[in-house]
Amino acid sequence: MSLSTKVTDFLTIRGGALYSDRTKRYPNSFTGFVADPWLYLYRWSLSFPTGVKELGEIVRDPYWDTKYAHTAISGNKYTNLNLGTTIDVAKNWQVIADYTYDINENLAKSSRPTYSAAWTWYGVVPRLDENGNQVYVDQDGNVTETGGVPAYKFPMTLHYNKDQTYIYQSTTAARRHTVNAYTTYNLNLNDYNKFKITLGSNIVSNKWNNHWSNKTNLINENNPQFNFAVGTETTGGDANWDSQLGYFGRLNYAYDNKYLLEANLRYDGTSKFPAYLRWKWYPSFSAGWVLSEEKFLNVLKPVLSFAKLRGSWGSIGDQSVSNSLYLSNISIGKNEWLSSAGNQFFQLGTPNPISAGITWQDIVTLNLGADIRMFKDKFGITFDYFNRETRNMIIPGEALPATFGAAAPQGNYGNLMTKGFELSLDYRHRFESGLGINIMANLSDAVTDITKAADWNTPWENRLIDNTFTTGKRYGDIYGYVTDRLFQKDDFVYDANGNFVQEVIVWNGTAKRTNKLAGPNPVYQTNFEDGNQILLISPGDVRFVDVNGDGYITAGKGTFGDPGDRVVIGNMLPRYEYGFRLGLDYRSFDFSLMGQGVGRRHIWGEGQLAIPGYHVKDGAMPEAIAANYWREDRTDAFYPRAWNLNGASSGFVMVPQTRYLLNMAYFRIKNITLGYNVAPQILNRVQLKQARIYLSLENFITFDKLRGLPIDPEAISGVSMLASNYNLGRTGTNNPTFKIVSLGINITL
Amino acid sequence: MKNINKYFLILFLLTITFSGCKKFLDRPPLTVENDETAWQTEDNLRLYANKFYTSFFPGYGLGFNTAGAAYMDYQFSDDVFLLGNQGNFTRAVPNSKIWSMSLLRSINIMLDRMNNKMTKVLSEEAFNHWSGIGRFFRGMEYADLVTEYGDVPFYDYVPSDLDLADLYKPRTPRNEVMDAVYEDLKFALNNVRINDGDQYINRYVVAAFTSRVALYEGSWQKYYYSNNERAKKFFELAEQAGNVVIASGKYDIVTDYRTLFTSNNLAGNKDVIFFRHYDPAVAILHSVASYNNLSESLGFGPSTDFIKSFICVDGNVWQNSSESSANDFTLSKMILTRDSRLEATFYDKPTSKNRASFWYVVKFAPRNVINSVAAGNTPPPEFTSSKNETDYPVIRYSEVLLNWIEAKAELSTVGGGGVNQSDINVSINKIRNRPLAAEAVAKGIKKTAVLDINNLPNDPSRDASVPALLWEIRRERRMELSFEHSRYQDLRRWKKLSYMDTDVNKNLLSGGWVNFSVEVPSEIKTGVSVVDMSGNQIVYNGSNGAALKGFYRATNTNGRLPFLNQAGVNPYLSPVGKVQMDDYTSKGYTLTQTEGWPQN
Repeated sequence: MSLSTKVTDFLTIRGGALYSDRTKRYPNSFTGFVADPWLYLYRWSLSFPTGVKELGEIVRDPYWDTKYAHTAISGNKYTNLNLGTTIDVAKNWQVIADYTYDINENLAKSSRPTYSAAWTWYGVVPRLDENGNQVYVDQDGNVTETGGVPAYKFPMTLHYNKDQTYIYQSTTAARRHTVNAYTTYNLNLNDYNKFKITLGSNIVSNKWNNHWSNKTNLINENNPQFNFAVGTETTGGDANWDSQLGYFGRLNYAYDNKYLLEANLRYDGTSKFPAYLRWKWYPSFSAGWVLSEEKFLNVLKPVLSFAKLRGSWGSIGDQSVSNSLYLSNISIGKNEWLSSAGNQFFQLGTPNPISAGITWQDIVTLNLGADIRMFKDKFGITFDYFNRETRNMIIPGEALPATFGAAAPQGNYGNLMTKGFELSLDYRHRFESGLGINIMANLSDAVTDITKAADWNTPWENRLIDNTFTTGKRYGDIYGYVTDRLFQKDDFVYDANGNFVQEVIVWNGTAKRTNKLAGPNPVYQTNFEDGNQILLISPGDVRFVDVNGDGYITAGKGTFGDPGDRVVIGNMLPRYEYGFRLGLDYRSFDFSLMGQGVGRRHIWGEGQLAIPGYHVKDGAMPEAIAANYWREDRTDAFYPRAWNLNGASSGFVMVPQTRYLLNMAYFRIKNITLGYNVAPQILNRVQLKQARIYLSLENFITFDKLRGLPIDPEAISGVSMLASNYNLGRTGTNNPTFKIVSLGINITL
Repeated sequence: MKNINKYFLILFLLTITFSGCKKFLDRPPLTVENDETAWQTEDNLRLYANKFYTSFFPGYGLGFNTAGAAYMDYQFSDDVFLLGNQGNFTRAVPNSKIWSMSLLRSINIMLDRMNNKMTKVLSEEAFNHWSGIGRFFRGMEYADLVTEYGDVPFYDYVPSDLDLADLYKPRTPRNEVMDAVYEDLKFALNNVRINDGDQYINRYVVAAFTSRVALYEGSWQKYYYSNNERAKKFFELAEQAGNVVIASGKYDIVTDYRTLFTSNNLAGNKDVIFFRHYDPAVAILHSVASYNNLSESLGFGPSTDFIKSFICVDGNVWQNSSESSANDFTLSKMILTRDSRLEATFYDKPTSKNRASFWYVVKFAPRNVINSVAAGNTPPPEFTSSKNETDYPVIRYSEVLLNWIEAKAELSTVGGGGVNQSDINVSINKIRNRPLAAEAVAKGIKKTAVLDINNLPNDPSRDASVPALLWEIRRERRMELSFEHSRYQDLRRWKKLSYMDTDVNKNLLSGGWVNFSVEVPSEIKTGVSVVDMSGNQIVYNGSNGAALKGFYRATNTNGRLPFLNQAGVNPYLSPVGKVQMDDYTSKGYTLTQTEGWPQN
């Protein structure tokens, strides 16, 4: 809601208010959100019961866990109040000031009841009748009085007792004051030369605090309240604040509305850095040329209705980091040592090593673009090319040896450069038949290179390729081996009894006994073996390409100069993101189709849905893997011979490599909508101005390259609003993207 | 008029925007202490030291994390063997392996800040106490690192991240490091408070751990480095530390063996010098007892070598004991003929729940729970999953007594004093006089006879290089501290890793005695074999079930790969990784490889 009023002829006052309220309800997982029911649904084998009862008692599984869970609430209220004024001091001179006060409040409430369910984990107990006698059943499981075998059932177990029930509530409130005040003066020398000068300031002050409480032993599970909890009370809270101050000046110049120039200068300060490093100057410039206004292009007017070329260069400061990086902080918390009465000890943490001279990160952007509209504004093209460099990026310092006892302190050591482009097209047309069509399409791409990291002093050959920030590395690059094929039986040498002939292979001072490979000068992969005859390359294991031609498959030193046989096999940042929207309307019908996709993205997955053999004893395995792994009767399979990695996402020969890298490129039709506008004659009778009935399908068609693995290509492992490291970071173990069909009606009165 | 109003307004706005610049941006964090302000009170110092407790005294671990926990993290020794292939020693230089010094950094910061910022704040007594605490932790941590790696770089200050030459300095010779540890532990022994409050470290805890650390170092010096002079220095420290605990009169052996590990609260227990408490009300729980609950199936179990080492009730070895049926290894007979700790450690019937050995360890689960599960019930929830609440005696009086008597016996071989009967009465015989649980007495268990220094048992399987008295002390230690933390470290310090050579000692690959047709007929199936008293392996072939009477050995149980006398392999000390050696070289420094491993 906003109002504006002219108080006097030079003073205008405006004000506004905005309020938004949002509540999310979800089942509070009994097992927490680092391992919630979605993880368990994807974790156990098919023989584990789901959603069943035995003899009227529920048998514990993710379905019943979710059904009996209490509803948790996560709410957010946002209030924004603003007050502003515009003062017309003179004909060309204005002063504008705005003050905004916004409050962001979060509320979370959750509880956990007692929970009993039959437990399939350990074993069974005899099934007894009401008199305590053993029940006997026949081979179909029906109770029988004569003969039969003793019957058993899963024991009913109390999984969460009264002491483990709780009610929890937390509130967070963040309050922010923002003042933007500036003055503008328009200087029009003549019709051709127009100047505009702006001077102003921005002030931001932010403060938040939060508080949480938890009480155990609920006595009323239908209405969990703090008054109905009689157990241990724990509570905590936190608070923090920061502020920013900035002054700026701008000069605009326009010549004949054809040539446009702008120059800016900012002076910014923030509370997040030590006093002597708080303030910094930031200039920027831009220029534009409205090509279509040029007289020599008037001939093209029917085709080229508007064309503008523009370019800009500028720098701004980035201080989106924690406000205590330059201080050596000591955290206070509880630890796991108890007094004999059961009270937890508190502890002061170790002060972290810091670099005392932390200051602003600078972002310098160069942008070149063009806006073109053709055919009387029907067809439009917007193109941007940008080069954004982040300088003095705050990243961890160069790795120190273990004798330091901590990670190297963070400092302004990094430089990152992102280059990319964005292109968008739009077209609209109405045919004589009445059919209207409008299309919008966009394509964007960017690559980011690390131009300077903490190891910039190290010669190029010695920089480690596995670090996230390595000077000269493309950000997000994944290094891995190149898969050649799977080993088959005739790659090995056998003796007269059909057993493997073994040979001792010595590489880099280590000798390992392994199966002998057939052929002259075979390439050995003893690097992945343990030398103890357990991890032993055999038929069905992966065979890699010897990229560096040294006769062994190794990771070398893991540096640019010696990457061994590893190369860049993919990048985890998305490339070539595109989308389009097609709309058609004819008479009373309208139809729209919206799709979006990513051209290239790869990740090395985590967890049982992405890695074959991740933790075989858990039981679950995607059909795509279980039906397609190497066996002696299935030697052309895609996945290698069955091997248990015991909970690791990379091990033995299942290490990042080209063949099993997840290709997360996809194209998804996000929305298909068909609408019908009801005829005006009918509407008149019911006093409605407009009514539209529509049918909409969302996320119905997805094209992906995951070869049937049950992973959503838009998902990012372990990311969720419910917990960090959600579901242990395993790829694909979260709510699947829903396909939604909706039918609705819009009415205008 | 209008103009004045306008300009007044503008001035007003300008004042708002430009006022209060400097102080407005002063916003230090509100809820954390920092290194400048925290070192003001003794309370803060105490809070800082609190965080070391769970690192040094893991007890039963936490939740499902059993790193450093009794039983679950100690599956590599001659007491225990695995179903299938045995764990191997490191036989090749690993790609990446290096010491961790994050704890040391934290401890050195504590001592540094105390010396630089707190001399005026603390009383002399408090200053000495907390210096003692810090030096105690530092001594323990360096002793650990030296035992693992031999030479380690020594820092008794906080190295700076800018001084690379200091961070990459060469490894300090281990004798130099251990001399510093000696000084640290001695200081702590003399300065830590006698009593600092409930569950805080006091002088007796320091003394108990010093007796352990000094005994270990003395043994290393005598057996591995053959340096009797240094050995004597550390054995004497172990004896002194033991004396501090014994002379206090606060500790005694009054609790039955099983209760020590299965009690929900060990506060006030005279057998226990320091314990770790677990409590469901604050969700600090563990999972070790769940692995003893007679329902959880396990793949590692007691070896025949361990079982054969138990002394008989009459104080003699089974080969020449006067107890009837002493050479009958049937579990029900052994319970009656052997030391009471056998009955307290094992469930009294062979069961396939221990797939490696058929003898199931129940030392860490209470008798009533085991009886209930044996009767057919499922274990109670607090003995399943990671919900266990039992406390762990981190260090107890019986260990200190064993450390003390062993130090004294070793001293007599390196030029120190001797051992007499009264020493043995104070230590080993006191332990043997421990009260028995009522249930054990009802089964017919008796206390073991006293050890007589003039009439030591004549053990035909004694290692000829070990004198008889030391052999009996080591046996007592093996029975008392079984499945806890010490056996593997003991073998290393006595230079007896050869005891783990499965090619030489076949008793390492079989488990408990089982008479299949009588005790567990339903378990007779392919894959079962037993080893009889002469060492012959009888494999089940489909029809010889009646002959399956011997020490259980699954047919797929195999030995470990050779680790002694291998070129470029030193099973006693750990190598450093190639990645770390390369890192030093790339910066222009050298990281020497541990002795016994290839130097490049």
